Amino acid sequence: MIRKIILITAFIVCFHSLVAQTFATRQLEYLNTLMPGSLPNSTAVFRCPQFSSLPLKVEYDTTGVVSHLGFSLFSDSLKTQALTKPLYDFQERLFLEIFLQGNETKARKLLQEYTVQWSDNSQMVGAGTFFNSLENSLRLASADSVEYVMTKDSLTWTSSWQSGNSSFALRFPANDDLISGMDKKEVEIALAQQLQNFQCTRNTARPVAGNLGELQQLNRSNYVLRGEELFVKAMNSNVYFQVLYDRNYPEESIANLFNYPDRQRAKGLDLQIRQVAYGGEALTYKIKLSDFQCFIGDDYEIFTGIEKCTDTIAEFSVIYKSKWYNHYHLLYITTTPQNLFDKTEPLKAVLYTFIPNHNIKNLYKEYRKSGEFHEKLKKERE
Amino acid sequence: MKNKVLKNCLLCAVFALYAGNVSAQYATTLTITDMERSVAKKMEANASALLTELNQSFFNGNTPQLAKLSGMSKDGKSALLSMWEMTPFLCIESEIIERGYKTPSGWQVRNIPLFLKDMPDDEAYKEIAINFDKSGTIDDIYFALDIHHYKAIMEGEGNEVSDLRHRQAILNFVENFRTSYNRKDIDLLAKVYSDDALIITGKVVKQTKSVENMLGNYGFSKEKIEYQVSTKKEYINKLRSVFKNNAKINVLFDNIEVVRHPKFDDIYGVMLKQGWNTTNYSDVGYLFLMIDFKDGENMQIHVRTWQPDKVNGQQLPDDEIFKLGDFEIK
Repeated sequence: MIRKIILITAFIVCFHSLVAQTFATRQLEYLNTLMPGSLPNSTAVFRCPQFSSLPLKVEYDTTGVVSHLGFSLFSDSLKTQALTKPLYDFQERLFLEIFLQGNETKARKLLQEYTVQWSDNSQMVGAGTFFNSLENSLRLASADSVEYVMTKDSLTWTSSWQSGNSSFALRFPANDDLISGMDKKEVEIALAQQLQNFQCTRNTARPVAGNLGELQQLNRSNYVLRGEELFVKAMNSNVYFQVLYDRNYPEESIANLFNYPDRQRAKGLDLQIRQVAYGGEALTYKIKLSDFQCFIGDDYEIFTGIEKCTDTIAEFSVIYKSKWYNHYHLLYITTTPQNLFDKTEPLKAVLYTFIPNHNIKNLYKEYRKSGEFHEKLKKERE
Repeated sequence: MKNKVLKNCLLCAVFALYAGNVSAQYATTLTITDMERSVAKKMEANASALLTELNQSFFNGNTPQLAKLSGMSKDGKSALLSMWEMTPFLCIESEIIERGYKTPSGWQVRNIPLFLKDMPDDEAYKEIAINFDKSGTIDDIYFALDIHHYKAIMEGEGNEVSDLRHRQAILNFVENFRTSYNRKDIDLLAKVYSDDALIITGKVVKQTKSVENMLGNYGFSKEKIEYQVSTKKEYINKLRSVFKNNAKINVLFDNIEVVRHPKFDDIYGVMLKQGWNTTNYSDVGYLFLMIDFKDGENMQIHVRTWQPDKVNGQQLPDDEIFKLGDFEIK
């Protein structure tokens, strides 16, 4: 009798919601189709016999949309930081997706597609023991006594769990679409919504990178602290001193305005943004320059390059390189030099977002004329 | 009669003199010092023949005829034609003496002075270096400055930044292109391909040959790639069917290379390695796209090619992989 009650309760826990749900991303919607039953209809940690009673988690946002689904491996307190929550959510979601593949061949194929490496006690997981190892790893990760460390090199994150003599590790690329579970269209729309609703509540002053003792004198009153260069010399993070914002020095002023953000200097300037988004659609909105720079914060390295600067036109590009993920944002601005100081009109800006740069072999490949092979192929086609 | 013979002899002499003067006018001879003589002689002959041919083509207004230059490799010819496409040039010296430098793959001679036809006066005089392999065959030829930055540098730093912006916008477009396959967005794909897009797909076919020997017949299989050309309509219809029959598609792009056409500033080539994963099928191949940047927000694809990455168990040779220089733009 008691067993019957327990089984019925488990059934209710796993299958009690018959309300149709909406999901924040296509990836979550897809995961839900693989789930054996329906989800709880509010944020909860729950268990199902089909998952060997390992704890699962579902989260809803304030609009009632499912925003996260995965195994429950990390505490809420660990996930409070905006930077790392996506990384923890990704790992929880990834393990669920692997579990839901149902067979070892599919699970390994998925790991290969995602370029994710999972090792158990410092060894790659052996054939035939995959799901046993997975279950053991998940039990280890969800235990209270586990030690957890996450590190990053230039392109990948590595997580490791250890308790006593047992350990496992997960290594995955720092790619936006993989970690966020959102494709480019979804992530662009999310960013546009965040920017349109954003209001800065903190000081945007950021420390100058580099040693001020290395300032180089340019002329009588101007100095430059040479920063890093990105791809070409003219795209750099130089900061010009002495002439911080002077209409007689528009190019240096543009560089300082963007490479060295300052709320006071940016005050009164708006960006009229035309965000080039998926499908050739443009998302248009206006945002204060100071709010935009506050939104970017310290999570990006900034590089500015002047394309044209005459008496009547200033065209320049600003590249924001993510410190944590493998992407850039690019802001292309056209205005007049006078407007930078008179601040009568918004700066016209075209924004490209989430440009991946981790899979580039050569951005400046040299042009080579056709060789014999293709000349022959061309003749065969004619 | 005697006057006629004398006149003919004089004409021949004048003709010979003129012909000789024409050859002498165009000829450049290179003498290489400080290296082993037997290889140096071959290098001198090959380089002199090349420089003379360049000079002749410059004055005749035609593309250098490189087929007759036996002392130049395929790669060397390809490099030279790429440079010629940027601007015709000639060697301004009739006699050059330079030392030969040893390199890991052979030899190099530097400081060959050129005049570049399409450059402004103060930038028209440049030097090239010529690379030779160990046997003295010309293997590569390049300007003293990096070729891919050459024009940008000549035109000023601002254009360097514009070019970088264009390349980043191309990367953005390519990522959106990949996303459209993963989302099975057939409408968007129909939009990004131009109506007259050229679509070439390579398919590995097995050729089984039967060979008779004293033990009887036996067969062996050799793979080759057959190339099929489709119109945009044919390709989109086929893709529609693939999307319908596969619940999930995951396309991955890696090893992306971006090249800008030296003459048509809005035309870019993108070469990359594509991983194609569906529920029941996976493959890896080389994808090439010719992209028109004209409208930076609505780029179009004029050419799309796909080739398998391996044939007969071997990586596809580099010279068989489609690239921008394989297509003529009018």
